[in-house]
Amino acid sequence: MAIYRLSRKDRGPELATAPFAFFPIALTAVIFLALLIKSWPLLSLKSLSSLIFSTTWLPSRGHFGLWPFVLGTLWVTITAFLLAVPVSILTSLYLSEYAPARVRRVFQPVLDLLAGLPSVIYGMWGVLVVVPLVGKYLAPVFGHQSSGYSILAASLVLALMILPTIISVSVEVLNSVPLALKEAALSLGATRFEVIRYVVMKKSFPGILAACGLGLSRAFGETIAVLMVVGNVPVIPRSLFSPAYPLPALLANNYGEMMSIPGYESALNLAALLLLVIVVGFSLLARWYLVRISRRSG
Amino acid sequence: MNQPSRLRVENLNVFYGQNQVLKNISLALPDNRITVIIGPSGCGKTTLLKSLNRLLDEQEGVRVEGRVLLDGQDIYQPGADITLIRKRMGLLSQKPQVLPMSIYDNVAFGPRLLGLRDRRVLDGLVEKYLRLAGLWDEVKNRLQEPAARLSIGQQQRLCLARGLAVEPEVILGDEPTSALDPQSSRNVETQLLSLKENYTIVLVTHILRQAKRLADYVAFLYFGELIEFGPASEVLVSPRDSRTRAYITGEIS
Repeated sequence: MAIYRLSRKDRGPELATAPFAFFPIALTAVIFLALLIKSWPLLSLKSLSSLIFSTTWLPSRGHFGLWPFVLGTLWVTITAFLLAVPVSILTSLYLSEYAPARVRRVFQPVLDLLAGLPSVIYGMWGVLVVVPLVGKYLAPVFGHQSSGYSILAASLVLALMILPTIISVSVEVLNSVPLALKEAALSLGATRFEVIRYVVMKKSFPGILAACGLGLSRAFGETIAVLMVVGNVPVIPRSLFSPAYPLPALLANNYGEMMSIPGYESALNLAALLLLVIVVGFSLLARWYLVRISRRSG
Repeated sequence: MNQPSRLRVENLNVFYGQNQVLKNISLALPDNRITVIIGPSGCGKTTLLKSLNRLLDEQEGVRVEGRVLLDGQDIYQPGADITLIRKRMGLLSQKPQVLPMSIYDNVAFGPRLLGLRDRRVLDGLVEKYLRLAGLWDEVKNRLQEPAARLSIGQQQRLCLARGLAVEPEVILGDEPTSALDPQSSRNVETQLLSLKENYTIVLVTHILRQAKRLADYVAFLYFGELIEFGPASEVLVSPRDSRTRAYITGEIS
């Protein structure tokens, strides 16, 4: 808009729309500030690094080490992500490149349905099926003792929850590769798989990465389903069969209660701030990477 | 017609679902000549072209009946090696479709699929075919740049080079100049004319002047039927069928 001046007639609509465009940015800043202000009482007493990296969580004695929660968040989210991504990519490749139209017609609504299911339902299903599965069958196989309420259970449930999102977006991305481009590669004697491997995947990579990023942010923030199956024990996780206590679960379980303990509310606000920073950090990383790729392939 | 022909279409019928788009087409495409397929849009030109290297297979709900013979072998017979068939025919599409990789890798794509890895041999091939497509001088210093950075006209010549690098016998062109500016179009046309010495070329076009400039033979399609096929001098100058005449004089389009 810098090249020419808007005529007076266009000025009005601009003024009418611009504030709304800035609103989300302002909102994020306000949230960040509010959390910072609320966690300040604690931050003024202890150093940020001692709060983040300390492993002792004993609010009644004034110990607010957030490290178990940070690790819990990272373990659960990243494991879920690693489980979901290969499955999603293979599924979306099948749906876009191989599946007959009939299958696709059935799949799309099912995916939308799955994406829209309330997370508490995933949580219930996790308690009923995944937790016993992990506790009774999977853990013994790997020589672990586990109640089943574990990182693995949470990751499995979470992976299932983010699958539909990643698949839907990836299928869209894969479908946007022009038929003519595939035909061009086929005409050079490529097999269908070679076309997928060298052309479709390459062309779709940034989009699929974005789809994965979307799934990842959803996984970071998912609360209810995870807290129902993860055990909620603030320990440093040792294996996938350990229980954990991710940040969102900590907040959902405790915010609004036990607020009489000095510093507690402040610590929870700091936990929320930390979660915000982690999520924003990961999405900035994804964005930076996307920009880098698109520069490279012009 | 006594022209030798290794690529023949016999009684070809193509259906999209219930809709028949090609009706009992038979024609023999003369070797080392440019055959131009003309006709109004939606008459089945592109379908005919894509039936020649079995690209129709990629579309769902398409049914093909009849035969397409390449050196006497029916490419539609069960067990035919589709990738081999396609390798024998290069395709130029309406809009240039460069692969998402460097200029060099675009040209080397086909040879690499064949298992060629020797860098020096590949270097030689890339240069040879870029020269053949009339693009070498423009890109020789930027071979590692993404192909997408080339102009559209350059991209189309890159596609030509890439297609030639698999050493096809036939070049199929689906309105290959329709997205190009006049200068680039002329470039591509010049390349095609010089290539017919060694290749059999089949072109779809809706530009009559282009047909006149390039065609040795002309096939006129109308609503899925082959109305007329013969030497350009006959079909374009004194067509036998009234529908051909109407199309050429611009009465129908």
